Amino acid sequence: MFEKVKQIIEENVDCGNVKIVLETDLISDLQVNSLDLVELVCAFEVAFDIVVPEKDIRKLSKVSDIVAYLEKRVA
Amino acid sequence: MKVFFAPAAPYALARAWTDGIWEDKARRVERMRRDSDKALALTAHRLLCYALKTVYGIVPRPQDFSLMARGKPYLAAEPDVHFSISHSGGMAMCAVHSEPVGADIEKVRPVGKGVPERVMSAAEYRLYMDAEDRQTLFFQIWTLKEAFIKYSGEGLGIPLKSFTVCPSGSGVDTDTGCAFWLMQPAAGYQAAVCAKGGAGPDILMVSEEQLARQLGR
Repeated sequence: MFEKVKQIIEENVDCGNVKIVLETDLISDLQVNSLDLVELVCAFEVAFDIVVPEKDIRKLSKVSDIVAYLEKRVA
Repeated sequence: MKVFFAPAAPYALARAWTDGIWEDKARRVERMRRDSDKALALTAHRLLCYALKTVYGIVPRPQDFSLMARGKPYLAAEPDVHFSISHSGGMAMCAVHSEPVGADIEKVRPVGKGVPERVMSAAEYRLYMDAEDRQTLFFQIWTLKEAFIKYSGEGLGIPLKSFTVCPSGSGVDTDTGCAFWLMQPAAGYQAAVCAKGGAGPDILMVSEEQLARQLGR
């Protein structure tokens, strides 16, 4: 799951030379803004064939949050 | 209302612009990995200090800023001074007003599949589908929505599809009861401001040299 999440983040966000690890924070480390976050969520929805309710978006701050959330949703 | 724009200064210059920066913001800038991100965030903060000094004669100290529940900063001792800052790409923006205000700037770029459907109300999406230049219309609608969300101080707590903005231009929007103004501060950028009312914004472009001058009391 982590590798897939990492790949989607790298495809959708300008990561520069920031290495994506579980502790990476989308906002403070990658400077993801609201629009970037919505784009990422759309990409996760397509990749995992799920719908992410808007209320859940705010929970997705760290890569570890995303991995845990997606593991729960696709289980 | 006055709206200030400034291009991001080089990090070698902007790194010194930490006067008046509140603790939470300083911590976030410190955590940024890229110098270009730090430079843009510090330019936006410097632009806020410049705007407060120019319009109100205020030179804020870090302890003068308080944060709302969702992190929107305000000056606790100045209830009639409202501001909103935004930055994107290589541009910073700051709106100051006598009433609550929200501002957003975005660098125009292609957006991912499914994003317009996800963020637009049905009425907005119809307009988008009929538009000749969908990318421009998308960023007009997006910045208007973000400006409203920042005006409200609620962040993404407000579902983006739950309200409709009027992208046809400036004016009072019947859905939100707010006044909106769209602006293009530079080629490739779209910006918007939102307030409860008042006169339209005066738009001011601020140079790196103006920001670099001493803003002391």
